[in-house]
Amino acid sequence: MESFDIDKISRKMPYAAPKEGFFEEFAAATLARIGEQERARSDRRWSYLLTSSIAVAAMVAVALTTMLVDLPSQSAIDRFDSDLDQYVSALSDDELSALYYEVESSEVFYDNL
Amino acid sequence: MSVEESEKAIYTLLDSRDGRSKGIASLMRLYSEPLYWHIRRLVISHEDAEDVLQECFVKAYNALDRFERRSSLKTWLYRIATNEALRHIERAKRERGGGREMTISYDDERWSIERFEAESGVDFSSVEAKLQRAILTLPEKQRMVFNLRYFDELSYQQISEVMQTSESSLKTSYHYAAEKIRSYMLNQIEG
Repeated sequence: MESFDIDKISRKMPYAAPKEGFFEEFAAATLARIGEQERARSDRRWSYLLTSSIAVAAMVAVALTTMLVDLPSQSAIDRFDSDLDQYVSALSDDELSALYYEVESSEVFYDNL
Repeated sequence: MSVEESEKAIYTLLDSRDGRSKGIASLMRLYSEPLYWHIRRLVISHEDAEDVLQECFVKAYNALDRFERRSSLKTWLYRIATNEALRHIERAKRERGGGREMTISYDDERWSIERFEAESGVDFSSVEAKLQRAILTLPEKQRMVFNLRYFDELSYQQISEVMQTSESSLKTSYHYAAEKIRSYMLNQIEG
């Protein structure tokens, strides 16, 4: 067994070597794949930024609307309806006719706008 | 330019804002060929070696920010390539078993020998082919250590960085591997 020296065997591989230019083509293909990956990553980043911006803008708009428009509460509306009913029922026939004429005139006015 | 100087130049490229692609291109120029052969010795077919090598460089590119530079770029790439090759082999073994969990062990050499014998363009009577067959009969760890030391001529310290194993354990593995190969080759010559 001592007579056999594995270090004397050639390091050459028994497989067929890749064709000439293989490593240059390989490098170009790998760089192209990395480039595509980077582009896809960048597109995803922009799309995420756009979606986030739209969502933030929508939230800000809702918040501003809520703050700026002082909407009446339901109880205030009910109170107004009840006051109006009381006011109308207390009017005399002449007063009601005058009011009807007034309302009708204003509708004509608005219709002509 | 020495390997250390080349790696230093590559680090400069990788650290610059627009130099990453150039840095990876330089890494490929420097290490594609030795890594290809390292991978090919494990996965055997050229097509598989090409796929694994590309995966290795893409993974390296994506992991550049996490590379702590405690080892050289060379051993870091060898480590990625080795892990990718082993992952590829495991996947291929599973596919061969119809997606079922294989009953053969991780170290089983049958898969490699079958692939080697199916490889076209190999002169199986040559000493180099006999040596390859002998290496493929080794358990996985011994096969890896032997390949990295014998063909890639890495130091035990570099191999320990690649395989994350102590140098003394690697020396023992190499010793056993060399003895088994010697014995196999003698049987082939005498038989």
